[in-house]
Parts: sequence; C-alpha cells; structure tokens
Amino acid sequence: MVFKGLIEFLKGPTGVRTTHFWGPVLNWGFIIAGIIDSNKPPEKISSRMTTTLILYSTMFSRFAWRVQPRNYILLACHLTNVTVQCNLLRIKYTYSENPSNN
Amino acid sequence: MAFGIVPKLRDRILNSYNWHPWIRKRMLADNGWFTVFHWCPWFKWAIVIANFNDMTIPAQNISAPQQVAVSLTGFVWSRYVTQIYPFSANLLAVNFFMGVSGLVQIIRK
Repeated sequence: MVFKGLIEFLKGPTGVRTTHFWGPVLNWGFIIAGIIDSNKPPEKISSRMTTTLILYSTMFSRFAWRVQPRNYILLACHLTNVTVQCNLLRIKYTYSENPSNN
Repeated sequence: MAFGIVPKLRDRILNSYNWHPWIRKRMLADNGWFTVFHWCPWFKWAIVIANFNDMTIPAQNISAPQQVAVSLTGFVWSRYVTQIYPFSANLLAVNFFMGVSGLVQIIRK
C-alpha cells in the first residue's frame, strides 16, 4: 500500500519526470558535502559558510512549505541541512575551545 | 506563518500611508516584498558571488564534483522555477548564473 502511493507520487505531476523532483534531489548534494566535511579536520570548517547555509536552509524550508505545489522533498532536504550545518558548527567550536582534542 | 505576524505587519504598513499603486501592488503580490519568495533568492546570490570570487584560484584547487553539482543544480532549478507558483525572476536569474559559474569553473579545470 505504501509502495503504491509512492509509485503514484513518482508518476504524478510532481514526479520523476519533472524538475519538481530533480531540483530537490540535487540539493541533497549540500548534505552529502556537509557529511563529508564533518569527517575532515575541524580547521577546514568555515563558520561563515555554515551560518550562511543555516540561514539559507531555514528560508528555503519555509519556501518549500509555501510553494505551489508544496515540495516535501525540498523541505526534508533543507531541514537536514540545518542539522548537518549545526553539527559542523558544534565540531568547530568544541575543537576551538580544546585544541588539544582530536 | 502560524501567528500571522507578517501579514499583520504588512497590513499595518499598507494602511499607514497612501502608497503609490505600484508599491501597493508589490506589497500585496503573491511574490511580494513580505513573502519568502522575494527574499530567498537574495540569499542564493551569496553562492554565485562566492563561486565568481573563486575564479582567480589556481585550477588544481577547484573541486570538480562540487562544481558539477553546482552547475547541474543551477540549470535544473532554472527550469523548476518556471514550473512553480509564484514565479520569481530573481530566483531564475540566480540559478542560471549559478549554472554558468559552475560551468566556467569546470572549463577552467
């Protein structure tokens, strides 16, 4: 039943054949890049970029909610981007308080 | 949003003065000055500007997967913007230039 609904969504007017789907899918690249960056040394984290991306993702999650047609994939993408960027900030600040830590 | 703060603010400002009809229209429009659809493209210009500032860095410092992702995102979103309501020309421009900047970086590399 879940799969049937999913396939109907994918075939529908905001599905796999439209940019309504692929636009947000490409935006998940931000999150993949963020996860890769969380495994790198903390000095490489740019706090300016992370705060910009946090603001950007909160704005775009509001955008995804209010756009017609409502775009849940984009919403999910930007909400996870907020958490990933906050994690990066946490890594940077715990590192800068205790530089002797790994 | 949930508390309707921004529409109330907009209505207060609208009623406070006899605005020019064009200004009134921009305040009331679905992609108007009090909506997120007006403000979010300005944030995206930061990415484009950062990418154009990186035009001077040596080619080996360019990250090819990142630039491919940027240019692909830019061009797909340009098309997406024409399909949604409300339409935002600023968002269209920003995504187009994002695609262009990614392409230039790829060509440089």
